[in-house]
Parts: sequence; C-alpha cells; structure tokens
Amino acid sequence: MTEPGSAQRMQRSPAAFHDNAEQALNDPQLQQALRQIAAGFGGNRRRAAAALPEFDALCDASAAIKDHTLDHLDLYLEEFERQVLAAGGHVHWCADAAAARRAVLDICREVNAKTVTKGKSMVAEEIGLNRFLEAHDIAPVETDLGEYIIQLAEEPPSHIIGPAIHKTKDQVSDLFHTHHRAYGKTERLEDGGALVAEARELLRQKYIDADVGITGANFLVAETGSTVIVTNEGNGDLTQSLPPVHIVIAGIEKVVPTLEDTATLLRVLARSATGQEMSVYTTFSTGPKRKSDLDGPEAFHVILLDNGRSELLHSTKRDILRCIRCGACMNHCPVYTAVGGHSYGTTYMGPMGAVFSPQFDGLDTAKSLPFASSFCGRCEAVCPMRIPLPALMREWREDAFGTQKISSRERWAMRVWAWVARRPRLYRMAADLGVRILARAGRDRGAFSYLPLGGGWTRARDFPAPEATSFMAAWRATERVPEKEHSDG
Amino acid sequence: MADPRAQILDRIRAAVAAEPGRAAAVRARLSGHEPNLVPARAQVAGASAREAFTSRMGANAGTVQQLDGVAEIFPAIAAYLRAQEVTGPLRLQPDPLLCGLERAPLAPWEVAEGVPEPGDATGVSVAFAGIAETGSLLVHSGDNAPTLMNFLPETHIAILPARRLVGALEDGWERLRRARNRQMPRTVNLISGPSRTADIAMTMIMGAHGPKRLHVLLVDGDDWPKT
Ligand code: SF4
Repeated sequence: MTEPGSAQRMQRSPAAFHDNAEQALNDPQLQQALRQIAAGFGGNRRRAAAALPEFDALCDASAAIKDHTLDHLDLYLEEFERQVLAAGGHVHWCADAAAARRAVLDICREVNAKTVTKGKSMVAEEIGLNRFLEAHDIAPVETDLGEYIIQLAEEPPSHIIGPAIHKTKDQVSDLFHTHHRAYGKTERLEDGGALVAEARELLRQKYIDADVGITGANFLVAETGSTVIVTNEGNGDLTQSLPPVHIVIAGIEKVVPTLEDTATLLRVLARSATGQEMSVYTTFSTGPKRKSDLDGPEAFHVILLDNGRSELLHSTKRDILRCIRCGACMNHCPVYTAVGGHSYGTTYMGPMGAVFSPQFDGLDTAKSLPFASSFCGRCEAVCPMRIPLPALMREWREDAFGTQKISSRERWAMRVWAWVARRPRLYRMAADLGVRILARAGRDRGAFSYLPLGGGWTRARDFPAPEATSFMAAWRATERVPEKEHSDG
Repeated sequence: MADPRAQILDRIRAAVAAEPGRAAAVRARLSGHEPNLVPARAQVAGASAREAFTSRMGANAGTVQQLDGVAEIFPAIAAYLRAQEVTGPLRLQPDPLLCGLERAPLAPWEVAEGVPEPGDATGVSVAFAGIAETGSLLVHSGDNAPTLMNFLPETHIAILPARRLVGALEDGWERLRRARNRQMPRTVNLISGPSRTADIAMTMIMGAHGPKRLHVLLVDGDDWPKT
C-alpha cells in the first residue's frame, strides 16, 4: 500500500488554505504529480498556440463573443429556452445550489431512479450533487475516469479538467484493487492500460443499468437550444445516450449565440486546455430522441443555474463570466502548481477559482484565496478569454479590505506585498528571486505567515540565489511605505 | 416564493445596459450565422482538403484509407479487421446504400444491422461530413443513424464520401442547416480520433470508454448524395 497522501488530511474549507498548502508542500507524492502539470499541459498549450497563426486573434474574437453574450444575457437565455422547448426538452431555472439539487432530485424521482451515471460536471460539484443524491437513496456513478478515481477515493476534484491529477498511478492501482474486489477483480493491476480496461469494463454495465444520465455543458447554443460537451473519453456520450433520461446542468453564463460562435470558441478551448487542436468528442444535444430516431434518451432536461452568477454580472468581477473552464490559468500558476487544487478547499481552484470562490463560497470563508497569488501575471497571459485575473483578485481584496474581513496585521502585509507587486523590478526580484528572503523577513515579523510563502513554499520552489544587497535595499524601501499610500492593492 | 425564472432574468436585466435596439441586435446575430475569424488553414477544398483531413486525422490517432468506389468498402473492412485481429460481431448502420452492398467479403464475421449492442466488436457508420481543418468527422443521429454506433463498439469504421469533405467547421454547419432544414438533430457529434484518457498520471491511453480505434474509409464517387 502506498501512503494515503495529503488529500485525506486536508480541510475542505478555503479558510484553511494556509494549513492545507503547508501539508501539500510536504507531500512528496503530490509534489511528484504536480510537477507533471506545468511540463505536460504547459508545453502542449504552447505548441498548439504556436502552430496556429491566428491563435491570438481567435482569443480576441472569443472574448468578444462572450462580452456580447453577457451584454445580452437575458435575451440569449430566453432564446435558448425557446429552442429547448421547441425541441421537446425542459428548462429548469434555479437561483441557487439548493434549487438545482432539488430540481435534479425531482426528475430522478419521477422515473424512480436508483442509479444515475454522470459525465464530468464542475457545476455538479459546485452544487454538491453526489452527496445529496446519495442521501436520497440514489447512487451517482462518475464515469469520467478521473472523476471515477476520486469518487472511489472520496475526494473532490483537484483540477477542473484533470480531477485526479494529484493521484499517482500507484495510488490508482491501490484504489482499484480495494474497490474492484466487489466485482471479482482481485489482482492488483499496475499497467496503465490494464487499469483503464478494467474501469471501462465495469463502467459499461453502469451506463446500461442507469435510469438517468447527467452531464455538464461547455456551451449552450441559443440559436439551436443545444447543449455541448467536450470530452476525450466518450463517457459523456454513453452517459447521455444509454439511460432513458438526460439531465444537463449548466451555469447561465455558458450560453453563446450561434453554432458559428461555438466553432470559434472550440478553436481556443482544447488548445488552451490540453494542447489538442480538438478534443476527441464534441457533442451537441438538442431535445430528447426524435420519434424516428433509433436511440437516445426519451426525456431531456436542462438545469440553468444562477448561484451568484447574475451578481457577478453586476459587479467589478464581471469579466470572470467569460471563463470557458480550460484550466490554463491553473496550469501556469506558480501557487497552484506548488500546492495543488485541494489546498484551496473550494470547488474551483487556481486563479479562476480565486475569483469565483468568494462569490460561490462567500468572501468571509474564501477571503484568503484572492491573496493566493504571486502576482506574476502568467494566468492572464495564457487565458484565452483575456480575463484580467490578477486585477479581479485585486477587486476581491479591495472588497475584503472594505468590509474589514481581514485583520490589521494581515492588511499591513497585504499593503507591503501589493506595493512590491506594483513595482515591476522589485516585484520580479520578489517573485522570481527573493521569495525566500521576503518570506523569512515576513515570517520573522509574523506578518507574511498569511501569504502562501511559508517554509514549505520556498522548499518546493527551485529559486536561484537572490542578489542580497539590491534586494535588501529595495526591501528597506518597502518598510517606509506609509499605510495610506495603498491604492490598488 | 418568487418565480426563479423571473428573478434570475430580472437580476440579469438590472446588470446589463438597457440600450435600445438590444433585441434587434440579438435577432440579427441569431439569424445571420456570421462566421467569426476562420483560420487560413481551414479555407481549403479539393485535393488540399483531402490532404489536410488525412494528415490531421492521423495526428488525432485515427487512420484514413482512400477507396475508389463503394464496391471496395466491404473488402477494405475485411482486410482491416483481419489486420487488427478483430473477430467479434460487426454492426452496420442501417443505411440503405451501405446495407445493399455485396456482403460476401464480410462472411467471416457475424453481421447485423441496426442499433449496436454491448457485444458488438465493430461498428460501421456513414459520416455526414469531414472537417479538413481539424481532421474531424461530423455525424448526427437520425432515423437510420444510431448515435451509439460511434461510441459502443471497440472498433469504429467510418465511411466518409469524399464529396462530403469541407474545410472549416462553419462549412459543416451550413451544410447541416441546409440538409436538415434548420432542424438540429437530437445528437451531432464531432469526432476527432479514437477515445483516450490521460487521467492516470497524465499518461495517454487509448480506448477509455469509446472506440479504441477509428478507421476512416474516404470513398470517391457519387453514390452517396453530397451533403
Ligand atoms: S480563467 Fe481563463 S485560463 Fe482560467 S479556466 Fe477560465 S478561461 Fe481558462
């Protein structure tokens, strides 16, 4: 047996970010898994973007599509609904997570559902659907391999597109060995191909037995009333084709005007996510099966979830609603790739999570996440939707200051850090060279302990030696900053 | 309790600028089907579209075989299945033209038509279009086209009539709208290679839930209508 890893011990609350981060930094298996993210996803994205001369222009076009849609969100949602109804489907408007859970349960109860299979859906995670269904005697079965792995491990996803990215192959071997015994599989498999084959075989029967299939949606197309999923495994397609009822759960910000707009967004989605030109399966679902169709579900339901999104639309954080959940910002985030997704203690992690979570989980509990940034700006640079992530995190910090959700000692540290961050040369030293010293200086004063800059942080990073004299000179300068000079921090 | 639909829409309306002409702008956008930026590599036709489709499907880990006419389809399938050592039952999409072809070459396999079943080893389907830009197939459900054919069997053989090759995804949408009189089928799939996963330690493994292999027969001739 391998060690269980830090995921079991971490607290599922953003308030515990600092403790969780320390645990993550001291978990060698997690660190091994995290090292592959930047190398794997990061390199692939760069190659894919470089291979398409129009990539940057497509990102601009994609951001413009979403801005236009958000400006007319009420009208596009109404059109989407009209088209779903015209195709024979149902639309359920849900103001919050509880309403969405209830809507799903009601549909399941109508058909006396015992089991549901699920495609990958972050919104289902956001509303805590699995635990709710279990509590009502309905067994949810995750079918995306990564989701399946973490369901066995009883853990939340640690990445929006690679939910089990924190697991090593050894840990997966152990999990399958433990849980597949019930199906008469007693051998501990070590080969990746054999592990996938075993999961494939066991899950096949689950799709066939399921009463309801639940998927998320990458896009909702107003023109046609279609919901769109993008996958590589084909699990979502079996989930929505074999069971007699298909439920789609989607946030209201997922709508786009036309099929042409979807085509543009697809060109930047996979490239930014995995570095593929296209994911293997992009599937458009419109209503239930037609009378003369040979297969497909008898009923089609779309759950439209608000859960704070309309408030974001009304706020200074509005730009985050352009997010297409590609994961590029976390793959390139020095904080995420050091501490992993579980440290955040929220459904959404990394830079995009630091902007969404204070809305979804409350600024009170998630207030530390917008500070979980090294201000390096890489997230914004790689975001295909041109979302100014550092600026939006700054907006939340402003809100936290304004409502006194952080202590004066923390506030002092923030101001110094923000001041450093606003000065490119000093910042570069702090972020790239001087973190070790800055952290120590901060820790000695007891102030920077709030930031993800503890001992473990510097241990996990491979920083070149800082140029001590110039850095310390600059550091002394920071100590002279009067508190009121703070403006945008 | 307030109607959640009205509540959500009201909140949105409160957040967006109430400019006159909003509704007209939305109507124009929805009916215009204006393409946005279409990359140069997607603006191809004829031989270069064929070449682009073949090489990109190859990059997607699918294989493409060119055939001169429909008579070569079943012999090519037999040769492919032999080479891959696939012996299990074969399911044909109930496409009249496909099912009317001389079956003798498929004699070694148990052959049936219709909706695939879990025991089927091979599924054969006819694609609506091929997208050169990304090496993708565009397929859709219909009265003789079960969606499961593309997902359930471990080996997927897709027939793509060469005249159905288009450059960009946008071209595929236009053809679909025309062919279906603007009625979106229940399911439209873009398929770019065989199923795969990297969910175990970021190592790519083929055949996660869908097909392990995808073989495209790019067939010349005008037997199938252009879409
Ligand atoms: S914020 Fe940008 S980079 Fe991050 S997941 Fe969303 S779209 Fe992708």
